[in-house]
Amino acid sequence: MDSEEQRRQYLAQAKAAAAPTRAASVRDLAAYATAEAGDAARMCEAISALSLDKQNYQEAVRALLGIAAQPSLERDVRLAALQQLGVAEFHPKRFAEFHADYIELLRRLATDPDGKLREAALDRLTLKNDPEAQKLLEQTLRKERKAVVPHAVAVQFLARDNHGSALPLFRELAETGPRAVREQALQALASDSKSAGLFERIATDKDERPALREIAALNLSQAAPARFAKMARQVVLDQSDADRVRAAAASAIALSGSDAKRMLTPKFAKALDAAGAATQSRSLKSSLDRLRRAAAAKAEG
Amino acid sequence: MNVDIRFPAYDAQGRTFVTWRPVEVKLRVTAAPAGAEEVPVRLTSKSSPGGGRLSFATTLTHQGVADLEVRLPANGTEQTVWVGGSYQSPSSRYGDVSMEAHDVASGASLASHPLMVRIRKDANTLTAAERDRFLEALARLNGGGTGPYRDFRDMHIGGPPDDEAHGGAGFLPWHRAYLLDFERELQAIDAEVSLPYWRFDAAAPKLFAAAFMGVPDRFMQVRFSPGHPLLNWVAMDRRGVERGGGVGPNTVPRVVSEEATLHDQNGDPHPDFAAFREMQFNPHGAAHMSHRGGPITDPTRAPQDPLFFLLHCNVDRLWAKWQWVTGIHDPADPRAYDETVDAWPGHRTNDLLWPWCGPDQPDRPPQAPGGVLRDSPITRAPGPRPRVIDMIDYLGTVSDEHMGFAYDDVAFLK
Repeated sequence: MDSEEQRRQYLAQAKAAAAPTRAASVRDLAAYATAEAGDAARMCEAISALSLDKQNYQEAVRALLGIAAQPSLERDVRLAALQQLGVAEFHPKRFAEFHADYIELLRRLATDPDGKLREAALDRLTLKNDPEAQKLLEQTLRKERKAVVPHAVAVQFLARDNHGSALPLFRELAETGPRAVREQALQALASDSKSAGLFERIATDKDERPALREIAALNLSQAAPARFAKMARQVVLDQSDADRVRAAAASAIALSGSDAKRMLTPKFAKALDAAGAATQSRSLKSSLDRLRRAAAAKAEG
Repeated sequence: MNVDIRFPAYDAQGRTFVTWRPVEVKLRVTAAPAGAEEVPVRLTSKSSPGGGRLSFATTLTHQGVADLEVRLPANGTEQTVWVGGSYQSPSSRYGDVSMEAHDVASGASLASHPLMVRIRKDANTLTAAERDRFLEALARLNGGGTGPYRDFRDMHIGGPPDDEAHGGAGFLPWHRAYLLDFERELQAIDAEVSLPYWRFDAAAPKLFAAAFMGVPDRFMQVRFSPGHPLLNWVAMDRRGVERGGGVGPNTVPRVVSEEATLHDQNGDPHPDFAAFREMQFNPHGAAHMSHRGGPITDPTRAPQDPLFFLLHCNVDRLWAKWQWVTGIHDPADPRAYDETVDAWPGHRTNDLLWPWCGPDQPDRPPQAPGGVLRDSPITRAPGPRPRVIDMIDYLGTVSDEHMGFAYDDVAFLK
């Protein structure tokens, strides 16, 4: 079909499908909030449809701050208001006058009786490296206060500040924490060269969960490339090891820097061919193939 | 007898790429039969199954044809034809289409020139091979946190850089330049890759899958399939991708639809850029927030999640589609952009865009990560230090230069 004709059809379809809708207004929200039945679902819809254009912006944001702060409203309604405030934040200049009130609201919600509101508030605060939120999370992890969020979430949120002081805590939790906490702590230690020994130990321990070994191996590839290269070579070729860990190691070699690539000798490439032929795992085959291509590129280069 | 086919530009490996926008191709006969003044030559494309297709014309037009006969001077004088990708027939790899020249009289093949119709596609429609090439290039660009990706992360942060990218009329041109710079870095790694888009007003089950952009668990940790390239993703010294659970494989995010984004309530296209750009809140901001948590929901952190680049590719596609629907491509058209009286630096029509303008420009952020906008072997536009106005006519509809990208569902129209 001719492009001009296609355009005409597109325009005609849009015209035919047009159904005048009115964006929700602050008055609509007030009506739902005071209605006898207190229809939370409809209020959430109205919040999502709330107009944030220039004319309505200030009134809308004030209303949303009020709704999110209101303990008598249902949790889902307050969460919807927080979400729409997040949308409003995508205009930093217009949002600037509300920023201080917003942070204060989030800090109050960080210790709200409702767990989902706490988690939503701490999510937003830690994305801004808020120090009060970080303090609450460290206190949670050190068990100095009642947990504001599950410990694994606390680690994850705290790790967002890469200039933070929580590294020693993460090292400790990576060794001794419960399962989900260890995983988050290991993720948080991605660039920690002091943890290279820990990474190598976990990556090579076949009694550890594959998910943890995978993270540890990838961390080692950054923290100590030469140690990683030696370990990864063994893991990739070890047919008794977990496919997932072998696949992660193979991909990490292929995608990483020069230390690992030095092992890509013709002899190693041959061993990779044998490894690829011996496995049924599609993911492992794909990772080995990626590594073979990297070896071929190195040979050509 | 042969025909030389020469496209306007090639990369270092001798490859050339086109979009829907035709480019000037030079043809020249060599070793023509004695006595001939002209040689009739038929131009067609030859495609692998599922490969790209080409259109040919003697002028710059969207109305190219699949099969064109031209008469080339036997003395070897160059002649121009215009060649572009045939709309809605993109390539999936280099060389899946070639431009062919045949002698009309004998049918003999006189030339065969491979190329690629390289187009930005809906991420949910990529083949496994296209997806994996893109992911691998993305992972290499990230380099486990040490690659050039860091500059892109640092261009889109809080403080003064935030004012460059958001809030004003320059939001769309800035992000167009940002994505183009990013895509060209990916293409420096793998020239066959183009940036796919997340069509956020529809479900995208292939995109939100372990093999592609992953599936978040209860702790907002995105899970990938074993050996996935993005397992090595490091954004801010922390491994992995964090994303809230708001969008699953079958979720249709609650954002304004494409039709409602481009048109007003009467079904007419927004008449000017000023009306169109209100989409910055919805669907753009709403798409970010649809995930309900994680870096992608914060304007100063969003690029820490690689999905960000696919989200913004769709934002840019919507702008491109509005331009197509309205025919407003000319930067000189007052409807094409709206410089408001209160526009701040970076949002006025002739402002250089930061960070590509460099550091220490008056009233602009003092640092400028990443240097100038990455060049392309295929085109000179928009230049290393583009202005706001330079980002409008991306397809070269009114100007002589195109920027080397196009969308699978936005045609070239001239």
